[in-house]
Amino acid sequence: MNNPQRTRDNPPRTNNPRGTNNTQRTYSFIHSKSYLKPSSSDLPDFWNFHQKFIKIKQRQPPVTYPIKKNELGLPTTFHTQHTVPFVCISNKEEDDKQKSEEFHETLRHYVQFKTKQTFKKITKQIEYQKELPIYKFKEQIISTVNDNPITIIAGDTGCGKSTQVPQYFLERGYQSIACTQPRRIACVSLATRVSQETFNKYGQDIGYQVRFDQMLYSNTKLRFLTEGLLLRQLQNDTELYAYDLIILDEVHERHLHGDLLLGILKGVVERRPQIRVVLMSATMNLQLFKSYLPDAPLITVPGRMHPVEMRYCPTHESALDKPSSAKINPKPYLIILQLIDKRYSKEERGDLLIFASGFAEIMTIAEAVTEYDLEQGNWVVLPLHSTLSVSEQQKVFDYPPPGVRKCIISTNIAETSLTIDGVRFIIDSGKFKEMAFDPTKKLQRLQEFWVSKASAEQRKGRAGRTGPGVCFRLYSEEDFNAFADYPTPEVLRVPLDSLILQLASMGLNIRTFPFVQEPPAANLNESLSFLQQQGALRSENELSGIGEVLARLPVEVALGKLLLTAAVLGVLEPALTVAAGLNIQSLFNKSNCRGEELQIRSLLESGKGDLATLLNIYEEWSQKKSEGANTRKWCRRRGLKEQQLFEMSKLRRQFRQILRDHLNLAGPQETLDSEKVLEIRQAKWRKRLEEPARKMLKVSHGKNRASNGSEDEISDTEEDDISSMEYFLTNPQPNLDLSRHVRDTLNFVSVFGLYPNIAISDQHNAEKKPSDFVFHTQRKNFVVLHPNCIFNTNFKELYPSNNRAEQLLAYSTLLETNKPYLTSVTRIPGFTTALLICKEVSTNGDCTDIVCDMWLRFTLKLSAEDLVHKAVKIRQKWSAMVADVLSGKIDDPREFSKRQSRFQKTLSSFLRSDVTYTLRVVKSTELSGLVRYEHAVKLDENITLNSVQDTGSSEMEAFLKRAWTCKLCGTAGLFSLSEKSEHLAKCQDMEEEEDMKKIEQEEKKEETAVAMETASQTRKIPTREYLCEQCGEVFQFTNVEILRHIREHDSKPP
Amino acid sequence: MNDGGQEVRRDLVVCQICQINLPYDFYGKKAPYCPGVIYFDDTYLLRDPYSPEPRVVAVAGPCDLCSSIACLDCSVFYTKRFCGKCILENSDGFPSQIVVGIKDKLQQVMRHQAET
Repeated sequence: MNNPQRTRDNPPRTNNPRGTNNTQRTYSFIHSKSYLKPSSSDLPDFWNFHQKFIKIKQRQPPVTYPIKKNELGLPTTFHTQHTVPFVCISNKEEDDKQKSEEFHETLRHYVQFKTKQTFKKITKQIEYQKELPIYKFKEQIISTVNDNPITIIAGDTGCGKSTQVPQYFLERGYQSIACTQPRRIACVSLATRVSQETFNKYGQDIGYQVRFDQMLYSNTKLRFLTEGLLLRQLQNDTELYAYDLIILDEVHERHLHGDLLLGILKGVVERRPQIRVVLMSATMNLQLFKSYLPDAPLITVPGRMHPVEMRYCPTHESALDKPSSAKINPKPYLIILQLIDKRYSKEERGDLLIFASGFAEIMTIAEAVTEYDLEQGNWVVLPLHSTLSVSEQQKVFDYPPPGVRKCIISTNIAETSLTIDGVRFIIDSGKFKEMAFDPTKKLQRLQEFWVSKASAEQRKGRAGRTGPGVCFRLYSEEDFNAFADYPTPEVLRVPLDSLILQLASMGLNIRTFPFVQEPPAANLNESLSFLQQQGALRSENELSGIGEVLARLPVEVALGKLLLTAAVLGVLEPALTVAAGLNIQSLFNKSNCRGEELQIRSLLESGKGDLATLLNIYEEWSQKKSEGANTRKWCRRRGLKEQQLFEMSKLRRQFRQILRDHLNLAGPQETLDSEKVLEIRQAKWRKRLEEPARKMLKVSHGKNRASNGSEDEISDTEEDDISSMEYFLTNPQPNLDLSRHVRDTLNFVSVFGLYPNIAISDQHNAEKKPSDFVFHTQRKNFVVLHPNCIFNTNFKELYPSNNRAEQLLAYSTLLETNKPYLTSVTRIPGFTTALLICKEVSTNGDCTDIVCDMWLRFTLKLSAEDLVHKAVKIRQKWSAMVADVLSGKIDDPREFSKRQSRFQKTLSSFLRSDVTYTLRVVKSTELSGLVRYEHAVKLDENITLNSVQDTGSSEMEAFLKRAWTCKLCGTAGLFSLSEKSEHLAKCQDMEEEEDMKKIEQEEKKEETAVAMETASQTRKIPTREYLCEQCGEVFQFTNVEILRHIREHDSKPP
Repeated sequence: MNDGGQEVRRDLVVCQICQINLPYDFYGKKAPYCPGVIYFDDTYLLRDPYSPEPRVVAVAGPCDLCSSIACLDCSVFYTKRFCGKCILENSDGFPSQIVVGIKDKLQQVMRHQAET
């Protein structure tokens, strides 16, 4: 480095993205406190500039001193040096004077150059905002909102309402604004967008808040948040005192949460007239909102849209009633592609967006187009659906090379959620798929429907965003005229369980709630009775203790019940995983999974079913993560989506936090490493501010779809780094070896949560091939296992003892696509589980014929009286534990955890009881008079003896004394049914007491063993004999343990 | 809340030539978040909204001759900041490169103002 010329001849290499090459080290002005730091993201940009600047500089003569000045005091000879209004300082000076000067000169000009560039961007931004259609309405909007509690702003795509309206109020000095969005991703992107548009100080004024992620500061004035999240906030702040202005965006989309917010805010405004509410909507279906809010003024803003030419190309085929499993015919799509190729010059840019109904349709069309492209060579095929990862979705935004058009084949995700610029042609199949809920069968049905007029217009509009376009509709104008006007709002087609719970927790009555559109009475009644049956509601609008907790959990009732029960029974950690796993999209990668991956993955499968498999996968993954292994590769080799696993880890944390907040449970409070939190926050900010790099699409014809190459990996790494950081911040070490009773309890808890989603094997399964197995649920017969279910391959596990009637299956959803499928299945021992979870358990006189929920009928050779009585005991203990947890009566967490572990052992051995029986479904012809309670002996509110009328003698059975010998104590004599019950209960109590003593002894042994082991393992801390004067016992204690022991006595006086 | 309807301005500076409203967060020679850059004269400064790093940009400053405030587009820095109008009035005192550049810009502004 002696020769300063060297730098000039060999300018620093700029290909290193982090700028960590040798040249940089030669400049000591780049240090941790200078303008350019070694970590600065603009460092490579600077080196780039440096290289060019030096070349230019060589052409310019240096400033000559002394500088001659004219009468204005300005240098007479022009030099760029004089045009820079600042100096750049650095705390360290380079020894080499010349190089130091050179560097500072470059830096000054670099900063000058950047300043001009940024200024241009700023003025362009300001101009752009003024040109938006909504800008003309700015003053009108502000004054209307000032004068009215609720205002409706209607405007179509391109008018700028989502980005501008919140800013207008921020500018007007509103201190706390909430703007809701139906989608998480929109919250993040709008916050970024608006904070850039308002040039606010590094995002402090504007933030966002979505599930698992937020960017808020104490002085944040405007936050974008999801509709669901604002609803959650309403549970604690029913009048929304936290805000002075609420903006509900995209209300026309009519999501369940949006509808709910509308109704709630209507009430809030009445009670708190100084709050301001703005509803923003597209111009569709305005009449509905007008009549819902007759007093609210309406401001209509025109959209900005280029003309779109309309062509109807009916396929005729669509009119025919084809079976839903049949593949669609891609021919009509190809004809239109040919037409585009023929009519429009390849030089004219413009991409094609095809709206297909679902995944299978997308794949069929993609295949056909890829084949067509083999001849043409000017198309690049890009499927787009919600199961793609974010970086895969990002590809549709990349540029095609000149002369090539993108052919994006999408579900209705591209209708509103994703906006792609540069689309000129649309092919609209006119179809979409939607989940429809059948409340009587408790069945989710994925069905294909015709779209509404509003959706068809929205699809068409996607071609007119950046220029004039063409829309081809694969249906006739008559078809279009027959379409429904608007899509069916969510409130009319989804289960209402969670909605009712949330309303009840805010003290609102669903029967009198001011819905925009009333949900169907059948759905409502079904949900209300379901919630009462599940013990979540005391009456129609009064929550039970369990219901209070369920209303706080952002999951379905079944999962809430699962989590709550798991917390009570001491298996929360693994249950968090199960609940999280049931709350995400599939872990399995559909499109990239061959035999090899399946085989490796099968090692993680559990014979217990899909839930235990989920648990295995997650635990194994976290184990690998904590070992520092390359989990990304690990996941890929097993056909798993790692993003979903990260999602699970976030869900687990959220669930744990909510349960901890609402139940009086033990466990350390989570403390986060604040430095790491800051680091993650900064990493996220950087990522957000960096404009997503749009890349040129690589075209290798015929192979476009199969690009799972290394490119994706790179683009994903940053996201993964952040996910990983977050993961390590909050996740405890995995626990792989759960004991048998913990696993049994977990399995039981899962099944209890899912109940009444229980299925039974068809009695003829024994004679069938595994692929033909059918099952029956209480409300729907002949259902099959979902293709993802592990029992498809592990059918032997389903019937381990070859007794094909023994097991029951619990499932999470009954999903109908082309067949009714059971999803996320777990097997359980039928009889013992039914005794514990069914609402109505009835037996005949001698406990050999047992009917559960008027649906399952167990027939035994030997009396099950001892099991039935034990079941009563277990139910008692269990509800006592639930009650104690809910009422916060747990003073000693250690004592309670002992109680939990004892319960687990009892439960496990009960579930594993050796009992032989046959199981079948009660036939509808048998039903009448099968269960009668006149002569029944009630053991508890669920279990009754002598209520099944199987023989003529049972009427007398209640009074008859029969000879009976107690198996436990050997007492023999004449007993009536109730006497027998009493005796059994006593005997079991005694037996249990003895068991308990044994267990206690075992526990003590275990404890001392553990203590000894840890003492000897961790550090050789010397122990000594210690006689405690208070309890009179002798211990082998370390000094610390002695102190701890004394403290224990102190904290609970005798 | 803001009931009276009175406008609470965030920090905005108006260019007295083209009338553009520009945001700024500091008026002075340097901004605390970016101490490495020191301006010679008092200037309206803004944190670069497009950079993840704490970078500062100037948006406007007072003219050395007439003290009216001009944005970066309507003024030129040549050892001091001068607004476009003063440069044109004193065009003999400035190098031709500077006069030509600002003349085009000012004509644009005048045309735009005449239109609206």
